[in-house]
Amino acid sequence: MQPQLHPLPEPLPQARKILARSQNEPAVTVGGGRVVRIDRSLSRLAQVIADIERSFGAVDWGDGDDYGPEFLIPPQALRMRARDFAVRLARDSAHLYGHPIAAPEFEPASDGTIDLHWGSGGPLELLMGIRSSGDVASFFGTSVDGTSIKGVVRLDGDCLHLAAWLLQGSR
Amino acid sequence: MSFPVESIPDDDELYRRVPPNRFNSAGRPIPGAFTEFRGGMSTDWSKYATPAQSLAGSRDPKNFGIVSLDVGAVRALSLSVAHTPRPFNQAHADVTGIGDDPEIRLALSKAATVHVTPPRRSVLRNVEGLANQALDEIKKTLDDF
Repeated sequence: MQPQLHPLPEPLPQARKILARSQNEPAVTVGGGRVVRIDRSLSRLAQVIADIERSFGAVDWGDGDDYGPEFLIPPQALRMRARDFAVRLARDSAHLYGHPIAAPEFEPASDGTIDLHWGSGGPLELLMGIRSSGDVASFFGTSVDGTSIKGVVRLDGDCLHLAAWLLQGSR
Repeated sequence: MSFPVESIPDDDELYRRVPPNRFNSAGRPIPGAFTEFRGGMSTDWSKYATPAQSLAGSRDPKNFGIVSLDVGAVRALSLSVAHTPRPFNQAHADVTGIGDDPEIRLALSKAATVHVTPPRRSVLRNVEGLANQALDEIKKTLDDF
């Protein structure tokens, strides 16, 4: 079934060019059910980034002190840090492997950190804890075949081994 | 009033109060529901509490959920379980050793049994803003690519 196309609200100049040259390319759904079309080679990455935005925008981070002091709310700067990391990992994996890793779930942890959670409940699952301070994040991944990975990565460093591990499940 | 500290057997359970944003869309607690605060993860021991009583001790019982963990399963993850009664809560127990280990938190989230699932909060967003934000992000990424 073909997705229904809607006019976009004032596309940015660069995006307008992308749209203009891509009318016959695969559709990418962005927030609010809107659909854009971009180059075929990058449409998968664009869809993942749109999925990341959608996943990020759907998080209930909590308001004020409504759950009590034991359940801290991740600060805004940390939220953006987690989102930017997810986008970068998708982009870098698309660049190197030609296939972006899927969007993670953004999960607020009770200690005020954020978990990026790929493949929740699926055959290949990866959990990474992003903290406000420090440049590293702890991760743990597990697969139904019994293999697992665990360690620490620099958030501004090369994390492509994680992407490669996650891509096993999508090939 | 102070209560004596007792030893908690492996066959008992611990109840953990979990707010709605620490449940996923499938109604399961997320790993982020299992972290320490001020030296331990706060729970209630099943010897002195039921799920309903534990839920009643939350800030907003109508909007919290309750999950349980088997004490033996918790200890099998190399975590410590200690009875730490409070003046008004004889059931209180702390789990320690979780740290920031994602493997432990993921294991706890899978081991938990859900007794009460809270109603999900609706998160209202400006979908127009989201659409533009996503488009902007796509544009930036394609520029960089």
